[in-house]
Amino acid sequence: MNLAKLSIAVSSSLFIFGLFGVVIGSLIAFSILTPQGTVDRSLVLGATSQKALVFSPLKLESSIVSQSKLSLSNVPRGITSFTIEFKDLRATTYILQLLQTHNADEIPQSFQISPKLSAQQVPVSFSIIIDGIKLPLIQENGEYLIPQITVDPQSISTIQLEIIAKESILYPIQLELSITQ
Amino acid sequence: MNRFLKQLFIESVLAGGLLIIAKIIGLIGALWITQARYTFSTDSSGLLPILKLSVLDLDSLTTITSYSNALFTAIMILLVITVTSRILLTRIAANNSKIVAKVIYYNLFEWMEHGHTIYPKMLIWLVFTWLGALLVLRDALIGISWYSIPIVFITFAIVCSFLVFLDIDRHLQIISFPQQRESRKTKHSSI
Repeated sequence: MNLAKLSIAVSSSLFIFGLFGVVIGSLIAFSILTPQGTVDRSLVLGATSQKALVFSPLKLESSIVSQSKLSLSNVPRGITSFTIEFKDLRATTYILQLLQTHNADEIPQSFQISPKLSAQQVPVSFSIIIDGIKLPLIQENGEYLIPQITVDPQSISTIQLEIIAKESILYPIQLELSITQ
Repeated sequence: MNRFLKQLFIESVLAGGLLIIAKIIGLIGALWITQARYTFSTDSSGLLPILKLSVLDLDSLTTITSYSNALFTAIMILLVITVTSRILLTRIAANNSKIVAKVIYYNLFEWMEHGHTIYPKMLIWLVFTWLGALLVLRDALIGISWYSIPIVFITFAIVCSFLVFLDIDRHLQIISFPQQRESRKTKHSSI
């Protein structure tokens, strides 16, 4: 009699646990099936450009950056654009970690960075720093430069953006960087 | 009790499986409608490696999730209506011999629910309806889906809950007042 009661209790508990398992399993499955935005953008860039040189944007955590956007242009393929909006630039020097380059190839790879600023005659100069080498992008007089960069085979390099503001700029300015391989 | 729990478990497996299938159909439908680019990747950062679907264009994430949730909601509502229609047919046929005759005539006997499956089915589908509604609401709250979808789903879940409680209440009254039933019977017999 007791054995029968025990077996009923055990099977009932198993059914209850199974029930919870099904509910929790459904919750997990639903969460997995919910699409997410891409986090690993290097995968996207590599997949789109079909080239050995891949760019991974780094998280811009700075009080002067109000928004940043990465976009890929389909035509022509291989051009990657970064748009960064700055706000409240003070008369000082800022250095931001911008992106990483991954050259998976066994030969050196080159790319060009062409800058574009939303406003003209801004007393700010922009430069990029890669492997300790500083390359100017926009000079104080508003002159645009398009540096060509060659990265070593099978290397990872971090590209930093240096902003030197001569005076405080209280209105937002947008910097667009187009990378052409 | 054991039989009830067993039935409850079977129904939960069925409802859970259908909920996942509905979500998969919703997702495939949404990706097909929006023609969005996506990647499948394996995320092994957790305890178990899981397959992750990533949308390449972040701007279309809300549209894809909304379409997928809308299709999921539509499928879930259809499934619940199907289950409800079977239970309703059983309930109506129990008190009406004409309906029983029609059920036999149209060969719908298999469509009717058996007595021991009604309550487990009702309870489990109510639980999964609320689960689906809350999951859709979660997506809306985190900003990746439209609010209109959870509003429709939650309203439907409220209506379903009301119907289930109405049915349970009706049957509890039948069970709880046997003396009244007896007195009613004696009244009829005296007439």
